[in-house]
Amino acid sequence: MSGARDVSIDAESRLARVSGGATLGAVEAALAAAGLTLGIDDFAAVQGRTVAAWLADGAPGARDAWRDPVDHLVAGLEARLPSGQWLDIRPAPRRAVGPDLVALFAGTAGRFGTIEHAWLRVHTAGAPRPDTSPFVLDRDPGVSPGEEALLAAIDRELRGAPR
Amino acid sequence: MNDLAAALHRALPALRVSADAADRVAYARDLWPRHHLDVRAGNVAEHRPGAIAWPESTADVQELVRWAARTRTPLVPFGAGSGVCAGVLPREDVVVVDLKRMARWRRFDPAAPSLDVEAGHMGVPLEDELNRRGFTLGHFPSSILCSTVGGWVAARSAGQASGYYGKIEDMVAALECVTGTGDVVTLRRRAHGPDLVPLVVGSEGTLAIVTSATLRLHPAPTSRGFASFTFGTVEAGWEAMRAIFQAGLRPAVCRLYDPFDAMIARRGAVKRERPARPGGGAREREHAPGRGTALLRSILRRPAALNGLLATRAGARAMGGAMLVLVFEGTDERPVRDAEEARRIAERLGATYDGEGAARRWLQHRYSISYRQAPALADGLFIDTMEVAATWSRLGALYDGVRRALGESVFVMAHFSHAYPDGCCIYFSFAGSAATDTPPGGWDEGCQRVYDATWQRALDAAIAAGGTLAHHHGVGRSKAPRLGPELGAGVGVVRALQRAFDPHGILNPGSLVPPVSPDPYMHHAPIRTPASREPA
Repeated sequence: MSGARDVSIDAESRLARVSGGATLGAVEAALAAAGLTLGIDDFAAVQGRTVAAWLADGAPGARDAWRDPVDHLVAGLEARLPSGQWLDIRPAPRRAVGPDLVALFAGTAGRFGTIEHAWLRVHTAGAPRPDTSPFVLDRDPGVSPGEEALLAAIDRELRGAPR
Repeated sequence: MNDLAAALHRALPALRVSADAADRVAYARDLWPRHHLDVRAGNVAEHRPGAIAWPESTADVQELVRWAARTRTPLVPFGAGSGVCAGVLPREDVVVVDLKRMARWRRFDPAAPSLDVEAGHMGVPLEDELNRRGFTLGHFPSSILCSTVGGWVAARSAGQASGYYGKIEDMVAALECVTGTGDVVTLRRRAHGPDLVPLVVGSEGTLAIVTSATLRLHPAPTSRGFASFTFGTVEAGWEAMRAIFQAGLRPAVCRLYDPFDAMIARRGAVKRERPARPGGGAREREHAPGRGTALLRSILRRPAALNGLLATRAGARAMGGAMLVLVFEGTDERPVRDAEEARRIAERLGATYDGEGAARRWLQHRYSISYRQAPALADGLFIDTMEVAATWSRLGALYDGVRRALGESVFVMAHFSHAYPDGCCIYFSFAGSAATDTPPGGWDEGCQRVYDATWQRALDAAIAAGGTLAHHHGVGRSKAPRLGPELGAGVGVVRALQRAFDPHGILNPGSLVPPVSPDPYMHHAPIRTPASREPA
């Protein structure tokens, strides 16, 4: 399922559109041919995982977003919703058109749909990456009952359950 | 006191509530420029709320929302009213919820560093107090004098120093909010998910009322590096921006002005007082415009030729070319070093280095240019801004497409004020007038027709070019009808989120999503909007 055909590179924007079924190893190999990289720490631990599974799991090994607030990991994605509908979030550096729907798919274990393609930020291989001032907080606090109730309500509504 | 306010007062006697006529006028709109045309036409406050409430605590908000859910009363959260997309457009059965009496610091943690602050805190006093303690939020929207933390979160605000600190969504570590059922929930960012914060940020008051935000702070800058450049074309300028950000440099301020905007910026962007004119306001001048106003109106009725002329290389040269200003910030020698590195990159791409002066002047006058609508409105014109964004590979198509679409009917200029490694925001400013001297329905109605048609054409062009409708002003009601072409099935997902957070549909109904849709997720009743006020 994976191979160069699963990766198309927009070098000008330092973005790659990758198939959800491609392995990170295959993506990285395709990027390396263009002098680019995903920039994942401890890549060996995740290279066999598919892009969709890696994102659904919260992108382990990806750089901490607080270190460079101007950058981001996912610029857009295409996903299949539980209703069968196709959601296409076109790539953009930032947008202000309501909730950031990428959050429904990144780190939610596939609960709200399946990632078919993702627009990932890619970096020049070997180039240093910026770091802003230190920020120390609990990066993965527990999910509160209130948050879990909202997640369950979103799940219910996205599946179109009659009410 | 009207029936709505009386019912609210009976239910929550300790809550400060008003149905005073002056208050209802004051809370009848935000700063959507089309409202200004209404006001000029004599319709001062067509969309008055039934009542205004001023909660002082999260418990107050919770009780208010629970009452609203029981009585199915729509609530419109309100910060300082500086939105420009008709996010606030109340009606007689609506209670506007002004959060500004909730402005306390809850937890300041200099070690993290972070601040949990209530949503009604105004921008300038927040930053001033942080500076006194040696910190900065790094968020400097042009509206900072008249906007709140909650408003920034609701609209996905961007500040002038976004090139280093990011947008507001890059600063929020947690949100306390009250959902449409009256539940108080604290949402926390999580590196590996699930993360509900990005859903509420930018939801424009339709998912929950944000009562406090925990914001990431930075040390206040103690050093800065400045640089300014001239480019022959605006395209050469944005290539330099792209190279700078992709090289890993993060200028806090990175602003590229197209030649006409640059010409204005070079004049220093200093607000000048206009002497008061005898003869009253705009209504009088409408009937007898002065010679200067008449000339301006005449030019703006046929803007295409002028826009075309200014877009040529000769036009760009005559105006002195495009201008890029950079300001780096930090607490050591790095900002100066980074400015030197940016200079090497820009000069390699054909820039002429103009020294530090223009960048220093820009910083000194950073807020001076944002409040100039009044003179143009008084002259019978309209002015507005449109902020769109795209990846670098689509930026040229976005700039050309939107500029052409706007330029058919209004005079247009642009600057590029928020850059990222993968793309950039384009901020168009435009001025227009009615299409003829004596339009049907009168001058102001003629202006509204041109205004509506211009916006529709420009938003369509942004979508066609692969851009996004909004980078930091949000959607409100003004852009909601065009949301479908950008989000597709995403509109239904947003509606599903609204039902999940606000099952009774009481939070700012009618905003953000298109008012009518056959989408199966449709739940909220469309807000009544008079046909004459509906964006085309």
